Amino acid sequence: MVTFKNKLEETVFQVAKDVCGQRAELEHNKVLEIETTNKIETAGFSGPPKKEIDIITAGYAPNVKLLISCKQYSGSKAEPSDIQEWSAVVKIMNKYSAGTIFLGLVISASGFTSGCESWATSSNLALIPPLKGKQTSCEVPTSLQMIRRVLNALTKRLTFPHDDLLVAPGFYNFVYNLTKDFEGRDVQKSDDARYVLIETGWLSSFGELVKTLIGKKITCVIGTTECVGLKLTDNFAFRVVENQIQFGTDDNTPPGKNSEPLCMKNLSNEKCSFSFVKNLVEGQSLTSAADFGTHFEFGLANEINLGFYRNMLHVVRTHNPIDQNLL
Amino acid sequence: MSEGYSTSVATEKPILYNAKHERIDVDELIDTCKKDPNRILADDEIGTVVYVGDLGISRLSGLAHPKTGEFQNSNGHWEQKVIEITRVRFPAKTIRRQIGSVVMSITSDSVFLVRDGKYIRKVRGEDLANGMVLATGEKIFW
Repeated sequence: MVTFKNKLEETVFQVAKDVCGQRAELEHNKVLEIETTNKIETAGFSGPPKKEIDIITAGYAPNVKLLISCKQYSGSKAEPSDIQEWSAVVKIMNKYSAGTIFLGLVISASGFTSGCESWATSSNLALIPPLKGKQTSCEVPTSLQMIRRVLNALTKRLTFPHDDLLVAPGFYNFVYNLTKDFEGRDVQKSDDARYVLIETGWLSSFGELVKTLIGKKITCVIGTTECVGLKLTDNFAFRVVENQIQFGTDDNTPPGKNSEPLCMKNLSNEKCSFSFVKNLVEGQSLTSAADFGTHFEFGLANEINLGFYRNMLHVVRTHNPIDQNLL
Repeated sequence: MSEGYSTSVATEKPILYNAKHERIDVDELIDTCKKDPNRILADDEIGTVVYVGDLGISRLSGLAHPKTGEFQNSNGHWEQKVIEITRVRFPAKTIRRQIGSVVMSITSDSVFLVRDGKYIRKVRGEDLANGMVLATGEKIFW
């Protein structure tokens, strides 16, 4: 029966087990000893150096081990002394290693004081959550997403030359680069994200929308009480739901009940029927896209611009002169 | 994109070169790398991280080498070796700054090494200010 000192340790260990399987170990009050014990400089009246610690070890093939320290303080952040302690452990383990390479990582539920960074970079210890030079709040679930990402990435990274990771601040920076963008994700989420992937709910961007949808053909224009949108070839979909743009693999469940949206044509905003718009654009491929903030627009192969507003569609022919190319 | 101490400029369309010094497209490079799943260090809600450290890829940074201050190519810009390519899935906030002779787009949370008396400290892109001097000797104008 494994007992855990705190919830953070339990969850981090579970993540390590998920990624590293049987090579993930948890030990409490473990007496960590060096591997090479016959060095004169390590001789002492109480034997070679050892330290009693609580540790999660994530083992990687062929001989790399990541030593993870979980800090969960109530109301205070981890301090430089925490980093210095772990740095000493990892350093001694590496110095008297019989072939195993040890990397170190400290995860703290309440984050780190700013003074921790230089201690961590100089001793090549990774920090989760990362220190980014300004006050950012990072919830524990986000830190756990970070460590899962790091453990998975490290598995693959170690299949390539990785000497650069072993020299400070290589491993610190490796983990920093994998975790720094969570801040942007959380900021976007709190600001009502503009672009969202249908199948996963992940935040996305205009760039990804263009890369995903341009070239696809419109198979159907849809309208519901809550959105307007398109069904596209290769089972892709595009929807405008209030101020949000959803796209990606079609789940065939647009929000709201079927309803014909208001439809307009030409720059003079003349009313037209939904069937008129459908006949005009279905079967056409998407050739360009633009986000005007207030509305979104696709350029189509037949030189029609199809605009999406809240529960409204707008079609305009792009031939000049305008007054001779009205729809 | 990283080489340990690199700055983070907007990476939507970085200027990349292969080992033969031929210009390459980042999208094509990522698609090629995806054929080897081990190169995809992460592909998730946050974005994609691809390992290219053994492919001889370099990036024209617009800045000097962050450690030596050297300029390496005929354009007077340092070609930074690329270890990883990071593509963030959501839009990153970018700002414009003039650093040395180059006006560039940088992400607000990018990291720069700035001289501070006899020390070097890190400064976020959004905190770069007129008069600061990078570790390489390049001055921030705005």
